[in-house]
Amino acid sequence: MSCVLGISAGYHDAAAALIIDGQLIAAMQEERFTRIKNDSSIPSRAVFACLAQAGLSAAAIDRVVFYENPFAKLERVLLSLVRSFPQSWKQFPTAISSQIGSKIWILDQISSTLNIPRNRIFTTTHHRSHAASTFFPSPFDEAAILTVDGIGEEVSTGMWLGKNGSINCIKSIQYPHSLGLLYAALTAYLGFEVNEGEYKVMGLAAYGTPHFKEEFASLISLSPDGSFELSLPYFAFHTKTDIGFSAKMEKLLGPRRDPGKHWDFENSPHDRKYADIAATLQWYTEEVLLGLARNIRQLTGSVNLCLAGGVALNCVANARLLKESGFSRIFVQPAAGDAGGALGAAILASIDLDGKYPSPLNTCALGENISNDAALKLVQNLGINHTKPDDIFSSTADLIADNKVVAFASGRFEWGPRALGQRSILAAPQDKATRERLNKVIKKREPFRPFAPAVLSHRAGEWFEGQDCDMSPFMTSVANVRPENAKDLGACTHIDGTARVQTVTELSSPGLFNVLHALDKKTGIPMVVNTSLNGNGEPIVGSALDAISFFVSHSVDAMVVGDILLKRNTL
Amino acid sequence: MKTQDNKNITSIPWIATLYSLIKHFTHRQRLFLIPLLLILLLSGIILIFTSGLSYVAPFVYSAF
Repeated sequence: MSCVLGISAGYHDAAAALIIDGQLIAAMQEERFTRIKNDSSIPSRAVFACLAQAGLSAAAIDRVVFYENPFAKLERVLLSLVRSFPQSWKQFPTAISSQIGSKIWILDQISSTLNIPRNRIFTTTHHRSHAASTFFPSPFDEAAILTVDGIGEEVSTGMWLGKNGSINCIKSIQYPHSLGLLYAALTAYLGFEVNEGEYKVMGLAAYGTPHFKEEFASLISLSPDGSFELSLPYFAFHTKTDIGFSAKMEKLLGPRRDPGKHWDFENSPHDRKYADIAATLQWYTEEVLLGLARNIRQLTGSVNLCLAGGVALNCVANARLLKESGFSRIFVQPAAGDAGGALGAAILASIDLDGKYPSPLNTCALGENISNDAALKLVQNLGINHTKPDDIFSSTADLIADNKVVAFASGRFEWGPRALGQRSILAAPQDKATRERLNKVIKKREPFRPFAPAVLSHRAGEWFEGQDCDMSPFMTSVANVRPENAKDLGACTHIDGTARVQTVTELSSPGLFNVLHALDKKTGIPMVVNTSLNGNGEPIVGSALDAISFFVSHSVDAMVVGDILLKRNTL
Repeated sequence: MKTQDNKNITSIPWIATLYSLIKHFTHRQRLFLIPLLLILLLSGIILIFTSGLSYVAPFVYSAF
């Protein structure tokens, strides 16, 4: 038996992935345990939860693989400091504290935290981890691979070919030229939190029109071969740590938006302008990705594309890639960001160790299970009104059909940033008012944020066009809503007529599948609004305790925790 | 495909890290960075002893 653990940590979204004899057993993000959003600390709780899933202790691990090379990162940081001197002198204390204070010792820290001998701890490289994380669990034997994020060691964009059981880099773009950093800088400019607000920018973009193409042409230049260069005087991420854009960008686009300010598209011309900037950023992101994809299509001749890296979570861009890049099929690993690096690192080491490859990924329910016993004990102690229905899924469907909002925690929690029916809030998709209620009262987030529908896979074509792809089971793409059936999707059609649809099968999400099946029998529409089970700024719920805490503090009508149904006293 | 070769790595953590660090910089012919690295190392040790290691910044790419 071979047992390999992949780890990502140190920047954001730390995670662990466990592979035994080539098969993926568990993959979890540390934030689900520590309740710190995007927790970057060494994922010790995630590691031990992965091991518990397999019934093993740390002593059974043959190899631990860290998802990037800390020494290559140090080299890039030092070179960047030298190249940007004297503007970079203020960064020296930060560089010292991050690199010498902790980063270069991370392998030692992993060794001591997990009590694993240091010589069992290996490294790979950041973009190789990303590439492995998406190619090997994909349904393809051969594919072009595109990895796009902020920055790895020195690479920001990688073009790869996956073939004959191996991955090879064909071309790369180096820091500081980075699509991820362009998106991050504009995310900060628009008043959102970096590494968290990028989804908001994508949602905001649909409310604007790309009127700022001329200005953006000063920020980034595109080449016919798909490569790109940032105009560095407009950016500050290479010389400062507190801000990603320079005063020159504010001269070009106008003053930045204040964080936390209420959005008002109807009465504020400024907010409409910021939406236009978001739309232009989205347009440029798509153009860059299309250029890269067309180039790698030409270079590899492959008809399949695998995507990874934080930028691959841009589902609007992914949909456009599928339509216009020339690839027949596209796969995006659901934890495409840095968390996914843990999976890639583990796969690489597993192949290295015993030549075994993982099966295609058909579910992202790879986390810890809900404990029915713990849930029952908690609700009894708290005196919460609860029942144990014979068919919990049918009871859930009854509530949804009755227009109730149901928090749903069932099975193993999800791998990646999307709630796909294991830790979700579910509601009927028809009524637009449901969206208002979810946004304002329950999730307490910006009014322009869309909600996603989850639908039985074999029925999805009745409501959506272009949903039948390798991305829809993991909600990493969008599809057009069929106008003739748009009335069924009032709560989850975005302003641009699209929806980030999740297609559900019994294998991908058994609990949600059963709910949708029961809902189909009752209403003829096997579809729900599916949004993540978390409060504003919190990680998605992990345990029964997290779930019940959510129920106590948020105004959902009911909650399913394992096999227990909790209802408000008013129901 | 291969992850790095660990056969010469000791099981004593900090020695293993220093060995890997020197090996990396020698292998990549980046020895001209060693003086800067030494300054950072010395400053880092001072910071560790004075408990001065804490910062929060969203754009830490150039320092990471």
